[in-house]
Amino acid sequence: MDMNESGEKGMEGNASSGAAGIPVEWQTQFSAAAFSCAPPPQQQQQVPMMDSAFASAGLWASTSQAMALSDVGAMSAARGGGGFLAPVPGFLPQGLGHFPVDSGFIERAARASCFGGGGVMGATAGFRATDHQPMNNAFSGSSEALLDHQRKDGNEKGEPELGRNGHDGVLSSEAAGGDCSSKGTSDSKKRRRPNEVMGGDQVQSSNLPANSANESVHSKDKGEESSPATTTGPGKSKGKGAKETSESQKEDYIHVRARRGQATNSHSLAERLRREKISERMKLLQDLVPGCSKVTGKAVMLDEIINYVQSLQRQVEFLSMKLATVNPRLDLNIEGLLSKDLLRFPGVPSSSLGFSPEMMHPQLQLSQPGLIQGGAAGMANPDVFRRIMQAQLSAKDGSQMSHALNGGSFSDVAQMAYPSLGSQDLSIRPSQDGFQM
Amino acid sequence: MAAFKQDLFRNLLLGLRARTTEAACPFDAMSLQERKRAIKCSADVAMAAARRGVAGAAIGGRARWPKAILAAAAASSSSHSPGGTCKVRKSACCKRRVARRRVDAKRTIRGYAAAASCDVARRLVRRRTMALRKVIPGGSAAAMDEAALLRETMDYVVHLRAQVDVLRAVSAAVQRSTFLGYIFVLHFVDPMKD
Repeated sequence: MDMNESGEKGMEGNASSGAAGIPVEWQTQFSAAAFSCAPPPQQQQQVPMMDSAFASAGLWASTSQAMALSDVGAMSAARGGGGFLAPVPGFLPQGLGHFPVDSGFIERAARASCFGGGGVMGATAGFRATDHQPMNNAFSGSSEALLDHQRKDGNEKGEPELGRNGHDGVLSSEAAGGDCSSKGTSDSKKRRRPNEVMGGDQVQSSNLPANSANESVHSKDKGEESSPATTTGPGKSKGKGAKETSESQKEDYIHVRARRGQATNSHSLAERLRREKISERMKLLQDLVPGCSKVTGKAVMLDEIINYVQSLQRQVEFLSMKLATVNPRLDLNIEGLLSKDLLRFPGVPSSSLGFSPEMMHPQLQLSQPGLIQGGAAGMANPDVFRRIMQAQLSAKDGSQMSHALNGGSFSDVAQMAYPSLGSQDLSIRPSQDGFQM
Repeated sequence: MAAFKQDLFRNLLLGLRARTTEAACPFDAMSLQERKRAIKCSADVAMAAARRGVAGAAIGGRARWPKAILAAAAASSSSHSPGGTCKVRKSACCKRRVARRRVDAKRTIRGYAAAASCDVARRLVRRRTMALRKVIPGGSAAAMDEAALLRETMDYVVHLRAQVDVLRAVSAAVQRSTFLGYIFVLHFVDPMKD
């Protein structure tokens, strides 16, 4: 966790400080850049350069998604390439196996697996004719709008690289999928893992024809369909090296299965896609939950996940009990907390550090009991927060929620959650010296 | 992630302040259990609110658990029995869940000989999926398929971990500041004078 924070500090030093708190702007930036990715032709020469550029970017294992994408968005605007956005969420340094990851990681890994199969699907002509449309219909609804654009790029890029790792695919299928213990967090390994799982299924099918045959069929189906379904912009350039192996392996799977007379139609492919998605997410969860790298199998993994979530919830209870014990009045000494808080927010300039505690004293005495003096960034979030809350909640809930949302900030949520609140002023006002939080 | 933690912390402060100002019973009369529950609920609501504020535009625009937490908080506060409902409901759920898992284990052991191993595995997976649904807020409400449930789990685990970090930092800071405050008082209030 310390390394995470140092990595985050490194990235935050690079990124624009204002970008962190403004996800809406980031979103438009991201979508604009991603749409610019779609039309241009293959950028095969650029991609290795981008990969190496990222290799030199240093540690940033679990930077927040907003941070990374805003940084990349700025850089892509500078380069005008547009495709630069792609490798950012997908790239993971090799040795950082067990860092806590954020939602960006989830997105990355989903795209990672899905993109590889997209090239394979594009490769075989028969598949392209039959399967594009059903996959479009089935998955465009669930995936984001960017995915369709990037999938086409991925299909076109996949073709030239198919012939390369033909024998790799055969070898990995022979490996019987026993390599889960050696997994790292690199994308190539991630993509190889589902292929190994599928290879394992393939081997098992010959041994246990009754049920495992169905399972292997299903898993292979999903392996191919997952790629076009959830491929996005990051998938295009992010997995260039890893993509080749998975595409060729998946293409081999199709050929092998067609040779063996197993079903390759759209239904079983849809089934296989679903299973591939699930197994991909199980792999991600395996990375999230500490100490689960050696666990194989869904049931045990689910058990570990449940135990971990329950232990985290119990930790929250314990810590809240500790807070209640330490703090008999529940008012939380603001000054001490904020000075401790500065350690978490690495962008704080040292001058304001000296300033703010002294400024806190007179203000704490003079201010009304509801006010907290905070950073300017604090104001940005409530506005965005209010907008998002309004968008998401006002339609569903009744008059109380919409009335609450029409005000400002967390105070409205508080009024919803703590109904007898009264007219307390619960805002966080920015202090004048720019105390950054 | 740092932005999420900032928001969580801020929301936690606001929430606790709101709770203490609006509480029917004064702070001193609140038992330890009530205070703990208040802090925990505030932390959960803060986490849910921060999740929507920071990452509402990310893939987590699809996350359901913040809505579930906020809905549960609203429901519990509207019913408004301060000590009772949350704790009672939670302990009942815990007991039921624990009991069911024990029973499931026995059943699978008995039926092992009859069923094929893959059927047993499938049954185990199904039961544990249901158990996971109960643990994740909002999991049992919607008809989520397994993939969506796993995605929710990932999202929830990440943010829950952040919440634990924030709470740990806050409690350490409060502890430290209380200690320093005592030192301060002892220094300036010199019992030897006069």
